[in-house]
Amino acid sequence: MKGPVFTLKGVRKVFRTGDEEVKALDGIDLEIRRGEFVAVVGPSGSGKTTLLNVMGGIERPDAGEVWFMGRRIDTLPERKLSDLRLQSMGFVFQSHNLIPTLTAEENAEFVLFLRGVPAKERRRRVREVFSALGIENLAGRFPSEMSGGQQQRVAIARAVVGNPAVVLADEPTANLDSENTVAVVDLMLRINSDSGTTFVLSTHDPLVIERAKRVIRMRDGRITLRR
Amino acid sequence: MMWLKLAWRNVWRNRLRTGIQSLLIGGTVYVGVVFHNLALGNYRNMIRQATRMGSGDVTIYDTLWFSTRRPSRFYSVAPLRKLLHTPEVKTFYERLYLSAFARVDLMGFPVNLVALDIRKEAVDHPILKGHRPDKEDGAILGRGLAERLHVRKGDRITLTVRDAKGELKTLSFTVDGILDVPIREVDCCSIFGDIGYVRRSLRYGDGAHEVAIMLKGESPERFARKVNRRLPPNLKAYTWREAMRELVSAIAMDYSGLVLMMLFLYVVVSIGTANVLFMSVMDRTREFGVMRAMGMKPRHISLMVALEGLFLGTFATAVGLSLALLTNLYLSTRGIDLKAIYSLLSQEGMTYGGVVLEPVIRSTWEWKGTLGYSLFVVILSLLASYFPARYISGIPIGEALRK
Amino acid sequence: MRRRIPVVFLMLVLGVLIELLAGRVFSPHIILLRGIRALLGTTTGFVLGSTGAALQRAYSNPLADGYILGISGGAVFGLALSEMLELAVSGFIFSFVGSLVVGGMLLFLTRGLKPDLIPVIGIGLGMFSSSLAVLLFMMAGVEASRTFYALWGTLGRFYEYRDIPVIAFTLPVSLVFLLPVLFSDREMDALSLGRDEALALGYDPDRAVRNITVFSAISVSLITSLVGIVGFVGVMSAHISRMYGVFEGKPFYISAGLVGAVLVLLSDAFGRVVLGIDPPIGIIMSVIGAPFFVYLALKRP
Repeated sequence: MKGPVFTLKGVRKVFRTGDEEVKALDGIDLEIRRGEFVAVVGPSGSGKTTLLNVMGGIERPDAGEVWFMGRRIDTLPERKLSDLRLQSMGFVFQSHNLIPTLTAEENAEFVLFLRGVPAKERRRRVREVFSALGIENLAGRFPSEMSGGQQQRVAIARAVVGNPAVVLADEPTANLDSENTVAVVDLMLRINSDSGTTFVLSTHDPLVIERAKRVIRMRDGRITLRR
Repeated sequence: MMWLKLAWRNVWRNRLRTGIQSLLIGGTVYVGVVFHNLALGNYRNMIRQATRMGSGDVTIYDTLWFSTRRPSRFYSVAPLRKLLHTPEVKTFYERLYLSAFARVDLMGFPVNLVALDIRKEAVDHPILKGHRPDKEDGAILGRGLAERLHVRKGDRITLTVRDAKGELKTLSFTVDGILDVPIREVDCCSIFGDIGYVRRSLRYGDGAHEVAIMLKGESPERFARKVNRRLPPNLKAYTWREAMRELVSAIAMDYSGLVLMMLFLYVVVSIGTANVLFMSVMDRTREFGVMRAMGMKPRHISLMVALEGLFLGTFATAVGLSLALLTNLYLSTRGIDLKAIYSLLSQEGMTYGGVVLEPVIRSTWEWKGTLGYSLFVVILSLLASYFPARYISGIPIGEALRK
Repeated sequence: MRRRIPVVFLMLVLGVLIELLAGRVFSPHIILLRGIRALLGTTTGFVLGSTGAALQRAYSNPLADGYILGISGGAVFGLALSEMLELAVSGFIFSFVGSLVVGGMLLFLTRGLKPDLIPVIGIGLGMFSSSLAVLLFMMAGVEASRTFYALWGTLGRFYEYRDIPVIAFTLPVSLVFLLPVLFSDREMDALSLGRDEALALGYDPDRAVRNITVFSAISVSLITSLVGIVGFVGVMSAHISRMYGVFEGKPFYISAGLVGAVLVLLSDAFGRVVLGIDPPIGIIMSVIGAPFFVYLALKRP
């Protein structure tokens, strides 16, 4: 399918805590095309996470429009949104990504299970992805038995196992050392170039920024630089 | 399969919490089942004792005697004997109840003269058990009455009593046995004498006020209906339920007290279960956020939490029920000896609703209640999971992820 | 938020009036006895409502109320024991000692544990002691189950002039023990920002939670020994207060307390006039409470 994956027009989002108002997103216009590898960069509190959440339909903007693959999603009902996330998006978060009561393999399988893929097909697909990412050895382990880097690799495997159009990763390397950071980003880059999955990740790590194909810098809810 | 696996592992995630909670739920099942069977066992014991000394399973009375206790309303037993000679009937007892006046020196006391076949009844009757007077005019009385009359074994007592025709007669007995009767009314005022002797002396022929029938296992209701069709209009067969209304209502009161208490326990437990599930769910707010971000729907979350509640409830119920069944096995074969407790509780001894109790309570096996109490707990823990599930799936995903 | 308190207070005044006037007889003596009921009901509702609100904040568990600390079980057990031994001493002392024993055990058992385990173990202890109590009641027989009925919560257990000293002593004391709970609002507001933020602001959340637990337990114990177990008040009044828009700070505790008082007074008046019995408020509360929870559960939070 041609055209942009994401189109955001004048998106605003304000959080209120007590009497304070924080403008998390203050008029964002943005277009992300298919196959891009975008890093959203900025200090903490700049609105990176909120931007990703709005793109993923996890949070609704107060104003503006969010289009995903030619469909306006900021007005979709919750039920449709969760279907959309299930079918076309993958998520990686900063930490505690995995369901602690499921093994690595089962975590990845869970997405396919929610989609209603039969058990045999699920296992085949999970094994395929795990071996492609070189993490077969982690398959039977529970999250508590894995290091932070290993957990993030499994989280990426879970995000891509259903062949989503886009993977939204919120600070996926924030808790990792530089060696693991490079490995995890390279893994995402490889998936990006192999299967053309669009990646949008938020980060403030220079190691990630220099590897990204496109960088969007944010501050106080506005985009200050596009590269 | 995935849901089951997930829910099962989630249940065992916080061992301490789940352990305590299972203990609670299992404990409720245990208490419910054991007490239910024990209470029913106790009632059965009460009824058995009551039917043996009183009404029997089915009793035949003159309808007017049943409501007024007028001594003249006795009836002849001969026509009934053939009627009662059927395989359902284990045995039957003929009795006369007379008011008399006992005289000692210059004093006199009103007493109840209970005329019955002491030899025959000594087998079953809770008070007369084991007594076999040597003489035809032997009488058995409670210690309280004996003390008031200043009589000892072997002494003679003279009663003034009306005979079948209403004429005053004197009737004398030899005191053959003095008993410790735990029922005050019997202890103070009843004299048990032989029915043959009384009939002959007072011209009662083969008359009786009461024919108490012990059945082999036939339902009293059915038997009473059958007999009633063939009885003359002035006579009626009453089941023990009709004849001993006080006992029946005492039992109903007692059981509703038990139900009230169990209800209390169940309310406490379901609130507890809801609380514990709530805490376990709130601890996982972020995890649910991640799951929902992945595309899990609120109904999936409800399903998962409900399954957790169901597992917890079922597991705990299974444990509680098996322990309860083991306990009940012991209680139904060995029983609890309440002699000490009863004597601590009251001076009157082991009576309840006018019935002498056996000191050993044995529980029974009543499956409907046993399963009912267990199933109810499982359903309650399922219901208890509903509120937490709704609450957690109502938290916006973005907010949940920030936890 | 503060401005809404007077409205709730007005409702309380109305509730007291209803309690005083509801009924067929209007002699001064009867009105005085109703006055005692009203006083008892107001304090009961206030203590249960505000401790419920405080405990809900402390454990961030919207189902919490004073009885998750196992107090109810202790009170029932104490009463059962006094019934069993047929002692002349009033059941009040027994149930108070019973609930204190359970409360003490709870604190002893949870020493050094994280405070969120307190309710779990509290429920456990409460459940255990109620089971023992039921056992005792069973052994004591039918008379006891009538006493048990009173334990479901009734304002009518004290209706004679000679009971006035007991009430006059217990109510103020329970309110005094309520004070530390009411003054825990700053810690709780800090805690609602998160544990780390609370620590950074110089509050010790664990200690605050523990304090709320201890003082709520004592206050609720006193009330429970007087009126029995009045369930659902804590949970319901906090929820009503939240629906009304009061959900943090001291106003939350106070408005939950006032709403609780109104609930108790109205249930008592309702039971007396409409049902014509000395009402077990706990049961009336459950009858109102259950649909209330169904409603809460059905409505999106």
